[in-house]
Amino acid sequence: MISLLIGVNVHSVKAQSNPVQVIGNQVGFSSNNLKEIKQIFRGKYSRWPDGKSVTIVLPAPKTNGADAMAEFIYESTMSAVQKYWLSLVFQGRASPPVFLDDDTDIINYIRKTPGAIGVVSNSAQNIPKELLISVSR
Amino acid sequence: MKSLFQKISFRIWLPFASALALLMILALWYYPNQQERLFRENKENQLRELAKTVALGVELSLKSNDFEGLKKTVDFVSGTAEFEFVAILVNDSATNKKSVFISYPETSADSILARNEELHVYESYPFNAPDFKGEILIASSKQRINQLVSDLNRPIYIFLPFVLLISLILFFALARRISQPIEKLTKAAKELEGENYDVVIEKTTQQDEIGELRNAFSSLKDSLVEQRERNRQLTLGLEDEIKARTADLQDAQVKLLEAQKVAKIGHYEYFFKTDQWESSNELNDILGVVPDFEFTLAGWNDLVIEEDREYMMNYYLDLLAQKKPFQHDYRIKRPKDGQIRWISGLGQIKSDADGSPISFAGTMQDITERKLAEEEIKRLSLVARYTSNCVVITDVNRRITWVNDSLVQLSGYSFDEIVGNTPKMFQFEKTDPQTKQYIKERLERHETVNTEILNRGKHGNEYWLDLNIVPILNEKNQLSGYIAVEADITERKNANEALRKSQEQLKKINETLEQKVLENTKKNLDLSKSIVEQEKLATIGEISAGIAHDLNTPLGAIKVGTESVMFTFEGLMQNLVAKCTDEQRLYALEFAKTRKVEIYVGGLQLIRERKEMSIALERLYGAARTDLNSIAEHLVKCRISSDETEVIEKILSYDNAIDLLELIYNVQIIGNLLDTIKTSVDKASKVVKDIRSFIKTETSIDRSRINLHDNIQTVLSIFNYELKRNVQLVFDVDQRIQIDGYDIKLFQLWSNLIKNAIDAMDGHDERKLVVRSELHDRMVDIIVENTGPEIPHDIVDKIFKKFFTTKQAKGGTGLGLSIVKNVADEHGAKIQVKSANGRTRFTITFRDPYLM
Repeated sequence: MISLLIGVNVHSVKAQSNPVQVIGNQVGFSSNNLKEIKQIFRGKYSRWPDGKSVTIVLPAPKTNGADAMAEFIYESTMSAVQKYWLSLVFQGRASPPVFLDDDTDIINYIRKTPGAIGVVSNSAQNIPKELLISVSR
Repeated sequence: MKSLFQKISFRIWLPFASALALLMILALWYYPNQQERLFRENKENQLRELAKTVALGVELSLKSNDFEGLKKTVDFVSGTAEFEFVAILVNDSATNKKSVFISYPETSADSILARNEELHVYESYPFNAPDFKGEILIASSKQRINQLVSDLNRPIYIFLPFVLLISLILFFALARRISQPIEKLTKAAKELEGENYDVVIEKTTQQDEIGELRNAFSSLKDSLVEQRERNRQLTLGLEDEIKARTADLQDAQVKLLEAQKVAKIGHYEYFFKTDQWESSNELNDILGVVPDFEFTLAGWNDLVIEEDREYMMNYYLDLLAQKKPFQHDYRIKRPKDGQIRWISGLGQIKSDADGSPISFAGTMQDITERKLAEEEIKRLSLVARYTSNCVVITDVNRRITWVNDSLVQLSGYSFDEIVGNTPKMFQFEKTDPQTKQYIKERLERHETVNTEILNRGKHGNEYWLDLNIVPILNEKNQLSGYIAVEADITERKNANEALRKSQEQLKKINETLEQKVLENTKKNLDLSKSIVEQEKLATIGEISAGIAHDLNTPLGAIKVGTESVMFTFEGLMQNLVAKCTDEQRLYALEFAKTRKVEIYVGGLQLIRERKEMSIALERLYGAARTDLNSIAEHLVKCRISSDETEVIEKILSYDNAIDLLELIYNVQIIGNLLDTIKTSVDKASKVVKDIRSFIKTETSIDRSRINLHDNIQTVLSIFNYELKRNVQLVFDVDQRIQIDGYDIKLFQLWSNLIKNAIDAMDGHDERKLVVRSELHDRMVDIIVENTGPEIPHDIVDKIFKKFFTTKQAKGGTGLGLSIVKNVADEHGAKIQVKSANGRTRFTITFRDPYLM
């Protein structure tokens, strides 16, 4: 994790035409590779290197960008994502993600929550620059 | 062991304790089982609810993306103590079998699906989320539940025995609390049963049943004690009552014996079987039995006088055969003294329960006196009945109760016509009213009447009676009637009438002579009055010597006293007064007022007092004075004692102390002489006063209240000289006695009695005159008794008659005792004379005296 934080460069995911944009607030990096991002979104880490809790923010099923997010991050359907998180939470192995209904809510939530990391659609507007995390493949 | 149980009040506490123990045992069995059952049911419900909750959490997380709620739900479920695992089971649509989607904590799917019921308790609940259906299976550990059940029941298993033990202790304590007072009360009851009433049962303020029982028992004990005290008092009262009754009985017995003695009555009982009779001492005295007297039937018959003996035996045998009571008067001859006595015999047969005669009991009374009295009355009745004089008996109201045949014949009335009337039935218009008045007055005073009266018979026949009426007084001196004896003097009266007529014829002839007779009679009356006065004067004359002596003595004293005063006063004026100052003279006068000299003090007493005074003066003045002996003599003369230091020093402070003492002594002497003169004058005045009282000629018309002591003492004062000279006087008349009367007349009465007594004792060796009083029954006796010669019996009845005297030689007039009798009559007094054993006693009895 520490090695991830050191030497990570910030790249615009949008620039590489990712189906979704990854944003984060004080997560300790502004760019990361997709594999690592997937590991983060699959609940591998519960805390950032600076000790903040990891809060995963996802678009609720059947909302704009939800399926794209499931495909891109979890390489599955949204229903499977739910079951995935169901099994994790059921067994207490991870803190449950926050599902929000639109990108604006996701952006506002992350902006207000340090340590939060989430996914918004590519059509999301008014994303503060400091929240954007570039994902490299 | 049994006694131990009894000691701890087995009967009271054990049933309660047994019931409680049984209850506790039932609770120990029932309550844990019930609790376990409920607990397990509750756990199953809880498990079901948990499964339901988890299913709901799964549904919500999938439908609403609320994974946070699911997390909390799983945390909650896994937090229960008995939690084993929770799993999400899904149906495999292909095989239609359940498979384990996920479990927490992670558990092998095989063990989950195998469902080991011995180890776990399972509950499941289905859920239905979009694209995801299945059920929640939740398992609890049976071992933990059992442990919880055990933990749950453990306090009960500990607590209930503890409660049982505590309850038993409480029951025991409570039982002791109940039984101890009961034991005490039981003990107290036994004490009370043993009549120990000192046992203390204090009352309590406890409001429970024991307290009430204790208080009730205490009240019961108090009531018992009170009842016992009442019983004791009642017993004492009964004892006192018995004592009183016994005393009354004894008293009654004594009175009965006394009554028997007085009534001369005794009792006897003759026993047929033994032919013996028992008798009281009184009866033995009445019968005059001798020691060898045989108390048999024959013995009794022998007591009866010989001529009646056979008759009385037959009488007794007859009534015995007829079973009649004995009631007969008969005469006996007393073996002891041979006296013939009348006996009134009473008796009757006594039988036993079967009616068989066992004895003959009764009384015998000596009625000799009664028989004699009856015979006397019988004789007197015969006299009254058959005398030629008329006899009339009336009651107190003068109603005739009996007349004799003579009156019936004389009056012409029948007996029945007369009885019930008064004697006025015989009186008529010619009956002298004065005579009737005289009779009336005398009878009212219960005095005898002796007069002549003209009466008239039924057929108009007039007859003269010489009437003698005597009041009949009973033993209490109360009037019970009158008896009149009337002699028919008609013939004599007729003869007198004839004589009167003849005398009338002579009257004219002897008119002059009769006039002379009247004149002579008047002279005789005057002479009689004169003689009475002379009697009084004679008395005065006879006592004049004594009076002269009584007057002479005080007059002589006055004369000597006066001369002495003059002599002493002369000496005073010439010498002593001039030698003393005014202050000394005043001192002497004041001192003499308080201190009288004793003229006759002298001899050894004077010498001793003078010596004591000299010693006292020597001690006071020593050698400072040389005239101490002379002063001592004067001080003693003036009756100043040696311990009157202040007086002595005052007198000796003067230079002319001896002159002052002489002055004091002479003033004292004069004072003494003046006292003597005054006393003598008083004595002379009293003599004169007494004489004046005695010789007063005016007659007291009004009766007045007279003090007999003072009245008699005045007379004794008159005779003072002769009494003092010749007679030993004993004067003892109660000073309180007063009567209504005439003082001058009483003077005459006493002076005649006293004068006669002095005259009678003249020349006798023993000359003692006693004048004393005795009070009795509303009367007073004045007794004048002298030791002169006795009055001969043949003249005792005559001494009160006018002109009867035994002192002709001494000039006696024969009026003295006549005056005494008249004065006594005027005062309603009675005179009795008793002359015997060298004493002559006159007793004058006044009625209704006053005691002041």
